[in-house]
Amino acid sequence: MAFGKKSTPKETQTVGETTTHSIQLTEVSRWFGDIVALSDVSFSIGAGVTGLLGPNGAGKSTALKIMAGLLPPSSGEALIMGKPPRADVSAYRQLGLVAEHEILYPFLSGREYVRLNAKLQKLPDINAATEAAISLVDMQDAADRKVGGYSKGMRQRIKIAGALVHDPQVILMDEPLNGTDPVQRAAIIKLIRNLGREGKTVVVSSHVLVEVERFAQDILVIINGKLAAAGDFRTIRDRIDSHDHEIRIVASDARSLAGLLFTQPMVSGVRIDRQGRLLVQTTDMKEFFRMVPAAAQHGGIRLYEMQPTDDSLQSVFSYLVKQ
Amino acid sequence: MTITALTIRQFTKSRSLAVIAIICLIPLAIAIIPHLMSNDPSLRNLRSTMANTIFINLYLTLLLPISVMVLSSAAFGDEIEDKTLYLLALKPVSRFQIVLEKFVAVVAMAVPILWASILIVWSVLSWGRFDDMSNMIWPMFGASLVGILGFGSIFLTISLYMRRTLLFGMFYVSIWEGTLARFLPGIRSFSISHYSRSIFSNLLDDTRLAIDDPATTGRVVITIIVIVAIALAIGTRRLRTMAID
Repeated sequence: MAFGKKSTPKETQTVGETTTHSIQLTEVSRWFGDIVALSDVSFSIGAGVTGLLGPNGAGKSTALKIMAGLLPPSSGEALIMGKPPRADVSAYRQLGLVAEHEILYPFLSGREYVRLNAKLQKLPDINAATEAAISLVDMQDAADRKVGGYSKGMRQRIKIAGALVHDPQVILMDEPLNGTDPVQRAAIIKLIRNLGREGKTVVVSSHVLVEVERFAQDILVIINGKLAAAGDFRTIRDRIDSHDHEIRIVASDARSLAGLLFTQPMVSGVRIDRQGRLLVQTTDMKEFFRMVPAAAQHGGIRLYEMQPTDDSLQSVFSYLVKQ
Repeated sequence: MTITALTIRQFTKSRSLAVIAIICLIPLAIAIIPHLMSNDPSLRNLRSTMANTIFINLYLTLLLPISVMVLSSAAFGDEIEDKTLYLLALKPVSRFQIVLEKFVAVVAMAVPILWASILIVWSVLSWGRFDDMSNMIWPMFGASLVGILGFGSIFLTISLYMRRTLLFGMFYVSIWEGTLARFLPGIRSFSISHYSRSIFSNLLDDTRLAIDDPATTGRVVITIIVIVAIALAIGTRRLRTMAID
């Protein structure tokens, strides 16, 4: 695992179970005119669930499409189970993709849609595979309704059923939780975890860090088309936590509180903005959050709000890019 | 033939099918005219109207290419637009099979629509003279089949290269097929309409309705097979290399 290191052409990051590499990207770049969507990205992904993280427009979808063979890389090579899917379509027997954008025919029923996927996969028992996939996403009751009338969450679930109908070894999911309600979300997360436990290679793209934390052991972080981090999620999170954070505090007496905080060892900087709010830089957020209420109480200062200003995914990624 | 069946189902749900059906009935207005102008129009007049005015000038030059172009451009165009091409592209199905099945769907849809339209127009024009006019039906069917195969394969492949297939198609139909190929002999060898007209002329075997310098039937068959094969091969190559985004 490497953290905070940008990939170099000769360096391949590895995530997931490393005995077999189901997905391999080697020195992959992709540009659209002058815009570089992916730049010299190399990584291997093995069994288990891997989160593909990055802000919107970072290159996640491009990476997924290249893995799936939908987009040719401008340079480099993408392999699924050792095969380049664009050159060898038999690779698609081992691959399922849940795309972010709609890939449903509105005039088909949910069952017909899943069945169509089974037929195109040339499965020996189309009916059994169709029913199993529909059960997997708990869509039996709505399976005979036209997908054009489905809610966004139902469409996501039937898309997952279509992608899993042939029991692929490699599953790519682009923002699979988009549009789902909390119950559906929990069910999909459980399904993703189960697929990982069964030894499937599951890559889930998302821009929501807390979502990914719930199902992925390993993550790949793509920022500005480059691989910014790869490896165990918790290790990366811990490392992120060790950099300076900025906390915004609204208190009854900001100046007095600033004086009290400035003497604390974990505080590296204090300033007051135009709205009279305190902006404090700290190297240890956990300890800081424990210390501030006690210090405020000691000084007779009332705290109204205390919030990190840089806990968004974008700021975490910004930190990674700086490394 | 899963993709063919799916594509035909897509066609039946689209508005373009209704548009084509209506367009193909425009010649009905011309078919009625001889009956309105005379109680007993001459057979020669009827046959000339059917062969030249309606079939060659309207169907082969305009209605058939436009109808086939609408279907062909929708076969892949709608999938690209709706991003449903993902679904087909991510399956262990050869790219040639996808292109071939789409082509079969276009032909399977265009043939009944155009043949039914031709039959209806012929019936109206031939009212009361069916026996004298009946030998025109199979030549028209044969000629339109040649046009459907040729135009279908070309427009299907073009739709994989450009989004504005209809715009290109209208230009191609009006300038190349409708004007240049009819008046410049050298261009005829590269005109689908010319091969359709040749088949019509050869099968009808009526000297009064024969066209200038028709291609032999054997040459038409070979040429159309070659055109379809080359177009589908180019389409397959395109589908293999294009970005499905």
